[in-house]
Amino acid sequence: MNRNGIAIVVVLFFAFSIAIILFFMLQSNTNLAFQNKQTLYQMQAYYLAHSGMQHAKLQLRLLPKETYEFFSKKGTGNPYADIDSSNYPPTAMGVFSNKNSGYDLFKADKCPDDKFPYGGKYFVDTLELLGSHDSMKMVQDGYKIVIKAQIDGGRGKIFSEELAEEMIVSRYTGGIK
Amino acid sequence: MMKMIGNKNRNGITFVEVMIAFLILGLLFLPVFFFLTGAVRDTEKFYTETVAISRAKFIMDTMMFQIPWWAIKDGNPCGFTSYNMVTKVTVAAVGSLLKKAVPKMFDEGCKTANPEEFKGDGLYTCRKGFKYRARVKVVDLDYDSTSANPVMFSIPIPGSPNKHEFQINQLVSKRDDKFNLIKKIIVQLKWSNIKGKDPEQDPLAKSLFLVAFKSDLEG
Repeated sequence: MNRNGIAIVVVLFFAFSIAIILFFMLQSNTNLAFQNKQTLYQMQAYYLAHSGMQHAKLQLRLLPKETYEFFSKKGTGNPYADIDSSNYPPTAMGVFSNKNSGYDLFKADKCPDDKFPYGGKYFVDTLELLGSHDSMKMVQDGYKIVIKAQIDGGRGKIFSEELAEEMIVSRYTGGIK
Repeated sequence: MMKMIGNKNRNGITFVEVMIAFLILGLLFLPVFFFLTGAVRDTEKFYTETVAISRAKFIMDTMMFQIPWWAIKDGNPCGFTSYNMVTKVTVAAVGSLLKKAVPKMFDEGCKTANPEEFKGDGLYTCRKGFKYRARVKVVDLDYDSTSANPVMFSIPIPGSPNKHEFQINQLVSKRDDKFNLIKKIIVQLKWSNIKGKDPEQDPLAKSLFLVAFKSDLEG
């Protein structure tokens, strides 16, 4: 039997097998790094969404009558459109910037009060009046709030989170259930 | 015998060929060995990152959803107290929550001389021996410090170009010398990928951040 050239076949097969093993190992490591990053960005968006929800609930507690009047006077659109963190400098986190990378709470000069370690925003997407209990002793209104939050991960990567909650608010005391 | 040695038509492989084969094998396996060593290092790197993420989440969850708004004091690091500045009363239930939760959040270094007060700063060592520093900065977005560009509370009036528009000082009374309704919370976790090394001493220490705004829904 002519076995000329078998060595090349064996070496190529061997090299190919090793290349395959290396490729999958590299991919699994890259996946882990990617997943950790995704988890962090998603978590950052999650807390911004909850921040937005608390902000909307705060306004509902403080201005329950004015909110109800908006709907009772046939107001259209989103009455809480102004609840957008990018509208107000104290809550405006801005967009992704390389300048953020030096942010450090352990160094007094690297964490000024008006700066943020990353970019993002939250806003009230919709506010709906679901119903009212006018005839009861306690005058209450049911609302549904939808909050959207976004984190700017840089390089055009945006991570989003949406949060919806239904609640009953006392129209004259602002108590929320 | 001499005939056999002199025979040029020999089968089998020479010592030089075996050595070359070993050399080729070695060269092929070299990157695999390097990769495996690197993979072990990377696994630890991902482990420390995962621990940091879960600790940051634990701290932020506790601050956003468990600890009352008034019990969090602004500063870098922030403070935690069971003394309610609004009612001027020490709340025992909040005191026992803080005594259990804050040391779990920050570990070493979060206690103060006053047993009712803690600070949002500490050093945690995981089971594998890596060290993590956690710090929380809280900024009060109160009326006085943000009056140039305050957070407004507004609702449009249907059929009118005007809005109901209020500033914080019009909606809440002064508490703790401030008109305040929202606190900005920034959590930083800093860790070293070298076992037993304090991240503050490691120039290559890693960091991650979480930001949230906590509104006063209790007042």
